[in-house]
Amino acid sequence: MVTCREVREQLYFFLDDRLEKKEASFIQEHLDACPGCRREHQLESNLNLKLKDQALWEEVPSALGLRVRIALREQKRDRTALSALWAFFYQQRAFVAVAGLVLIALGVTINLREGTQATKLVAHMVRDHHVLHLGRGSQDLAVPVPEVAVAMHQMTRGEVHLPTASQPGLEVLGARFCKFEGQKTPMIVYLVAGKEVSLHALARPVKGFKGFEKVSLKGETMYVGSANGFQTVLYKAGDAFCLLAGDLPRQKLLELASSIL
Amino acid sequence: MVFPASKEERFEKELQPLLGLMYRYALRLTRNPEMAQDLAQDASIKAFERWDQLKDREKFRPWLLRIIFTTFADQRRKFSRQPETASLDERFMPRGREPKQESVGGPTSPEEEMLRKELGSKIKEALDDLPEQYRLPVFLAYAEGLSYGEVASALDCPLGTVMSRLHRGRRILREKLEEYAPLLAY
Repeated sequence: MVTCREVREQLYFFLDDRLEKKEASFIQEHLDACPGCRREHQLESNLNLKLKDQALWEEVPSALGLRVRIALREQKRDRTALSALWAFFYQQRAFVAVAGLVLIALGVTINLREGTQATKLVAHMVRDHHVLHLGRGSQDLAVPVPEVAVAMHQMTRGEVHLPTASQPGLEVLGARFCKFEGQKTPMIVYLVAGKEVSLHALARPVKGFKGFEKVSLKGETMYVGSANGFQTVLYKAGDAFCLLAGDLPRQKLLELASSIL
Repeated sequence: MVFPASKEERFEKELQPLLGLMYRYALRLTRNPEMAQDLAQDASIKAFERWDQLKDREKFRPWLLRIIFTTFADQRRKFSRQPETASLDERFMPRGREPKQESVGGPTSPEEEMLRKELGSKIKEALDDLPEQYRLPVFLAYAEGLSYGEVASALDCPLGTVMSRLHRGRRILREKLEEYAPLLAY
C-alpha cells in the first residue's frame, strides 16, 4: 500500500512521467482512492499546464534577431578587416590622430553645462563607433533618410523596423540603441555602407524630418534639421558621417559637432 | 547566381528559432529586459566563436543556454545593473502576453478572465522570486520543456542534483502559490 506521504514525494516524478510503469500504477491507484491526494495532483498538474502556457512568458523583442545579425556581421568585418586595418590606419593617419585626440579630450572632461547631455551622447557614439559609415573613400554619400526617419519614428513607439537594402548597393551594416540621460526615447544610429550616393538627398524634407538646412561651420558642410523633437546634425568627419541628435539647442549641438572635427 | 551561405549565415539560421528561449532565459538571469537583450547578443557571439568546438549538433540548445549562463556569470555586475530611468523601464518591461481564450479550462467570464490573468502574473512572479539555483531548472524544465538531461547540460550539473533542485524548486513554487490553490485545483 502506498501512503499519502509517499505519493507526495513521488508526485513530481509521476507528473513528469519518470516513474516505472509499476510504480506509476501504484500511485494512480492511490489517487483514484484518495480525494486529498487527487486534489493535490490536480493542482500540481494545472500549475504545470500554466507554466507551459506561452502566454505567460515574454515575447522576444523583434529587434533582438537584428541585433544579433548585426553583431555577427561586425565581428566578421572585424575579422576580415584585421589585415586591412594597418593599411587603412596608415592612409587615414590624420583622421585617426584627430579621433584619438578627441577621445582623449572626451575622456578628460568637457564642461559645457547645457551640453552635458549631448556630450555624453557624443562620447557614447564616438567611443562605440556609432557613426554612419557611408562607404570608404572620399565620395559623397547619402543616408537613406526616409528610412532613418521611419525607424526613429517607430522607435518612439517601442518597435523597430529596418528596411532591407533601400537602394542597390546600399547595405545596412548595423544599428544600435543609444540611451541618453534625460532623453525619454532611445534612438537608432545607422551604420550603412554603400557605393554611390549624393549628399544632396539629405536636404529633402521627409516625413518626421523637418527639412535639412545646409550650414557651413569652420569650412565644413553640415546639415541641420530636426526629427521627432530632436535637433539633429549630420556631417562628415573624415571617412565617416556622424548623425547627432539631442534634446538641446541646435547651437550647442553644432558646437559639439564642430569640436569633433 | 546563388552564393553559398557564409558561416555567419548558417549559424544565424540555427540560432533563429531559439531566440525566444534565449531571451526568456536571459531575462530570468538579468531580470531586466535591456540587459537580457545585451546578454543574449553577447552570448550569441561567444557561441559563434566556439561553434566549431561543439561536437554533437543535437546538444546545440543546452550548449547555447550554458553559454548564456557563463557569459552572465562572468560579468554579473555588467548584466545586473539597475535600470537608469524608471519611465524607460516601464515602457520596455515586458509583460506576459494576453492569455489565449481557451488555454486552460475552456471559455470564461470576464471576471474569471481577470482572475486568470492575475494568477498568471502571480505564477510568473513566484517563479522569478525563487533563488537562482531553483529558478533556472524549474524555468527550463517546466516553462520551456527541456528534458532533465538537457537541463543538466545547460546548468553543467549532475543529473541527480538537477532532479532534486527541480523538485525542491517546484515544491517551493507551489507553496508560494498556496493562497491561489482554490483557483488551481479545479
